[in-house]
Amino acid sequence: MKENTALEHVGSGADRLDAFFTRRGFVKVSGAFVTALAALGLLPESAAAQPTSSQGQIDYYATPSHVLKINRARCTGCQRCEMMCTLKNDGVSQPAASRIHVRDGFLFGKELGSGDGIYYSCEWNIRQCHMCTTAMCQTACPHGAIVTDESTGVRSVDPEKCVGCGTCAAACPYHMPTVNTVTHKASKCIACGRCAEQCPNGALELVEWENVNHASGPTKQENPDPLISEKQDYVGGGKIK
Amino acid sequence: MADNAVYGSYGWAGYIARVDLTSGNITTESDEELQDLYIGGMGFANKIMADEVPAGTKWDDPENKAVLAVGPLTGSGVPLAGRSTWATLSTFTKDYLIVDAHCGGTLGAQLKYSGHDGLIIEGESESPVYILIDDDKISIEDASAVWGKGTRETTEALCKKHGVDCCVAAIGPAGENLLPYACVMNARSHSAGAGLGAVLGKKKVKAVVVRGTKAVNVADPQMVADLSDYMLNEVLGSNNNHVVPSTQQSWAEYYDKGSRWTAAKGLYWAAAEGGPIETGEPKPGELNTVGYRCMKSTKDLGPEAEKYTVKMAGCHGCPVRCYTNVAIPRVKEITGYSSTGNTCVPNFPVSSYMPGIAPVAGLTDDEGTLTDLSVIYNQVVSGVVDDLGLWCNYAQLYRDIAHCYAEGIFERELGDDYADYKFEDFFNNQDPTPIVKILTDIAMNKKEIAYVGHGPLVWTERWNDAKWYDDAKSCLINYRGWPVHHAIECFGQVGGLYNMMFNRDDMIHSAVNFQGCGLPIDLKRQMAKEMWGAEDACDPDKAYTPINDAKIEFAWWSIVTDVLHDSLTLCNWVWPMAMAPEKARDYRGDLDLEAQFFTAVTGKEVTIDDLYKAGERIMTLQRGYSALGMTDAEGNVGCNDFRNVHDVITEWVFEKDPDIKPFEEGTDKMDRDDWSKALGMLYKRFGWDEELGCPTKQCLEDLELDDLATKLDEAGLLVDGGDAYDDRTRTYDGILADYSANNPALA
Repeated sequence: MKENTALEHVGSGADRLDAFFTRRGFVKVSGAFVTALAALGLLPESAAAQPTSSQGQIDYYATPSHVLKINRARCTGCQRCEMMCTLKNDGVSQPAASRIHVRDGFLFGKELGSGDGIYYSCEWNIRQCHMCTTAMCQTACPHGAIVTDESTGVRSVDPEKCVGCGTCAAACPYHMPTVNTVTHKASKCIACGRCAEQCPNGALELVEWENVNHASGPTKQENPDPLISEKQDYVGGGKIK
Repeated sequence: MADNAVYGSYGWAGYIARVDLTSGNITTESDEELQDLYIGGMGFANKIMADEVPAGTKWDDPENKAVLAVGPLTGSGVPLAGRSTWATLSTFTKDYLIVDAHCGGTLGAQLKYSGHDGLIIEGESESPVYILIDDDKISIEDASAVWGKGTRETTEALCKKHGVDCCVAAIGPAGENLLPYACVMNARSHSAGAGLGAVLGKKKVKAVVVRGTKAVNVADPQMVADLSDYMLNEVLGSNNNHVVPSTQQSWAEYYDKGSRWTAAKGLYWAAAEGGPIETGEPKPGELNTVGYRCMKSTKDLGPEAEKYTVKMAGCHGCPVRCYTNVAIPRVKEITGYSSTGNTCVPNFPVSSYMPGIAPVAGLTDDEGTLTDLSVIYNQVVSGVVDDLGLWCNYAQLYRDIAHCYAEGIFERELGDDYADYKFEDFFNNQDPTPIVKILTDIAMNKKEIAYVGHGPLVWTERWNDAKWYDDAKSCLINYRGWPVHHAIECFGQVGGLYNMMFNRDDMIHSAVNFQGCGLPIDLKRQMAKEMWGAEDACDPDKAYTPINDAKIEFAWWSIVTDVLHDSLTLCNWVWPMAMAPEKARDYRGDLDLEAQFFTAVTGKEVTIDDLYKAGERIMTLQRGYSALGMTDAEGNVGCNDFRNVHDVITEWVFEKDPDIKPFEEGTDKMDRDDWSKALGMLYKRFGWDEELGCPTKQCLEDLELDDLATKLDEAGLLVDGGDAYDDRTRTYDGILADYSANNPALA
């Protein structure tokens, strides 16, 4: 496994303590130190539960300041969020490079047969960056191109370092980062909130960080309707004789 | 502002794809030379058709083409810029002249993001194919596996193959079987009509599949964002830009029960996932509630639709969510489709268009309120026609079915098939199921009943019912085969005039939006004075006055704004921003927004007058091209007498309300002399010949339509005269700027 150079970028240890105590930043300290802090009530219990590395240290990823909270039942699929995201962050309108994703689920949800999408339940997932405590995109990046903002804890892609390999997107449990097909650089959400500002249905909200892993709604219907294409000769609402 | 070297030119993608189905050749070409004069969308598509498809070509000739185009604003982030325009030759109106077919959904945006401003489909394939556009990669693929399938199944199959992030624009059985009323469907219920589906079917094109991952480059992204915020905060209203709510609400000075701003306390998306979502009282200035303003399901389908309502949706990039999305168990049982819904005719095809002609039992209760059965009737039809790819000629199909049933025409003409259709059950016995077979047989285009889907031009002759045109109930407004689309009931002569302009129903909403916006007539008349020169531009409903210059200006503006929007592309079902919901700006809209967005996106400085001139150019181009293909009374191809051959309004507009005279209160009937005068005045406003209504040498020169002038001259159809552009036009630039203090482009 390649060394996670992102750690070097933010340094480690006591010089990050200020950021540490404000739940910002990104530190690498000894397990004993973290356990002690947790015992003093200065850290969430989950911090001490992080896996220990072979060097007897743990990586503790403090949480970013903000995260997008979404309500998919309110989403009407206009996809303005994607355009507003890229206008602000890339200077162009390019939904496929957006840091929030609606377009790929609009027709059929997560996948064909999910029972979602405009053809079925009329629900689809708004896929947003979860601002993970353990940011796999960052951990996996072989070039240390995903960096942490020291004041907000939010990670972003350093385009100078990014080579567009897509490891970040593959590593993310939600496949949120995208590699721009024009620039060949990755992008990920930086919690700017522009998407939420322009959401005409208030389906998006930029909130102070909380765990949103289970707040995105179901990713498929419990009992999805069978696909029309699985019903033979079902045209126009009946069998064609 | 992003790098041109990386992202390409601003606004336009810069390229049009050309797919020749006969040779299999696929090429791309620059559209740079078209941009300034023809904008995009309708302008591009009409210019390409006029240049490449010889006048007199029939719709099913291999020489006919289908041209899809988008404009500089499509997919750019500008609100309501998700539409696209196709042009081809009409399958169902006289002489197969050029028609535009507009559609929303996701097709236009995806095409733009693929790096193309257009797609020219030409020639004919021998076997079923679909065209796959995956960014730069364009290919012709075998469609034999999906030939015969409905649009839903086709979409599923092609998304399975190419990814659920593709847009599939497909024809159904109607298109495959060359039914003149066939359309092209995308995103479940977004249709491009006017017979386009039959044209693609003749070319054996089952679908166009597009995935676009590229960017629309924007010259001033911050200005696009700021103008969008400004527009959504204080200028934009609801669907049709209705700017007052339909019910009395605490924040609103006015309300109007006809308004499409239908959100209200206690009115819910009742079938929303996780529990009902209240539409509530979204107010001007609340950007994050704009999408709740238009509660379209109950507006169209009545109160019983509330419980089925999952949410609203609509086109790409539009914050006005005008599309009904309902999940109705009974509809699913009948059709197999989990969800249905639309925003236009297919949302309410039975309850709105049939009962006035042939009563349908059980659709209303004792108080006249639409019933649960009505919801089911409407949505069964909605789901079925969308899957069949069956278009309706702006509801004419439904009026004609009701009429042919009620008058015994079907019974007389359909022979043994008549009993199979169980019309009695559908009309009288509260059973919606027979309509599935009726519509399917129309789409399959094999049995006699299918002629009702060839349009009134064909079936009234075949079934000997020409008098239907002159019956006000038919709503047919032109003898060439199209019905009213907001005609004389919309500001009298103004609506009547623009209904004559195209080779199909006009689809102009600039005027009807203003009519239905909900503001009181006195205020509207003040606004009319500012915009069109005099309060007399608009009269109260059914209290019309004789034609005057301001009405002509209003009609001209309605036409050029519509054509402009179809070229940019913007949704003319809401644009232009003539009025606003914000009292602080005295309800005035902002007519400069198209130009300001255009400049922000493309980097080209324009005024709204420049863009209106482009709209006039594109309208005149279509008019001139139509002259080349129009037949005269003797059947000769090439005719410039629009007044007597093309712009002939149906008789019922002069004959209706026999007890009331024109210009008396209580009627919108037209006066023959006044109508004749109005036509001449509108022609003059466009620089056309006042008698004939055809483009003149002068106006073609003013509009830089030199090629068209040459062609008309060669055909002996070019006339002298016509007012010079500067003598006949007025200035709109900054006309509402005094009300627009917060407009960021004026800062």
